[in-house]
Amino acid sequence: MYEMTSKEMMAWVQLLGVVVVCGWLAWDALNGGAVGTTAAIAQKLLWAVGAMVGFNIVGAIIGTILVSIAQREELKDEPADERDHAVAARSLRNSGIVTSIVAALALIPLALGVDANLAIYALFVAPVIGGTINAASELYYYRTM
Amino acid sequence: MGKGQANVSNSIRTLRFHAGEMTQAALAKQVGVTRQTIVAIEQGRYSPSLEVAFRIAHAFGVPLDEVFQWTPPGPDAD
Repeated sequence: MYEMTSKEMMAWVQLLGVVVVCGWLAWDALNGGAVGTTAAIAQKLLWAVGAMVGFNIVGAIIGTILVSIAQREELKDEPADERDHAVAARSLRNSGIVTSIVAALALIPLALGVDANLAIYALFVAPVIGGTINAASELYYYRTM
Repeated sequence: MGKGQANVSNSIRTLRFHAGEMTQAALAKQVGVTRQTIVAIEQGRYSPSLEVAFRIAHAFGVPLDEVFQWTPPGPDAD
């Protein structure tokens, strides 16, 4: 039987939060929300960051309740042991590599003269992708090591 | 510590059986790791640190080589 730990549940919540918030941003961009002043775009992305933080807090509470009901056992966050540290280190490494690559790639269109507002999006997208890779890596390593 | 190696095996399941069907949770508590880590070690997915390996052996009251066995890689291995 698949038994989900608190750390895995949080990784799923983080992934779901990214999907929801990026879905909202994509929908907004398709409706002309991707253009505007630098300040306006930065404010929107700040709201997106806030939404992700809020989603993670609420998602953690709801997720804990739902998983506890499904597993018929209270889901507790146990203290991290050496395997947790190993998983976290590998996931963080993957996240760092991807964040660096995305941030570096964002310089290419800027160098080609694309609208400088792209840099604001890159500031948002690079760490979000890095966080997503971190969460996905944790889920992968917890199942394979 | 690190990802489990194919040539490292263990007898934790057998030792738990001989220890009065000790649960993974009870062993985890004695060793000071999570139950998921004991599951991963038992299934050979994760090789523990030397300290945790000694703690597991101590929990069963047996020498380390009764818990973990290592087979040298064959001549074809890289």
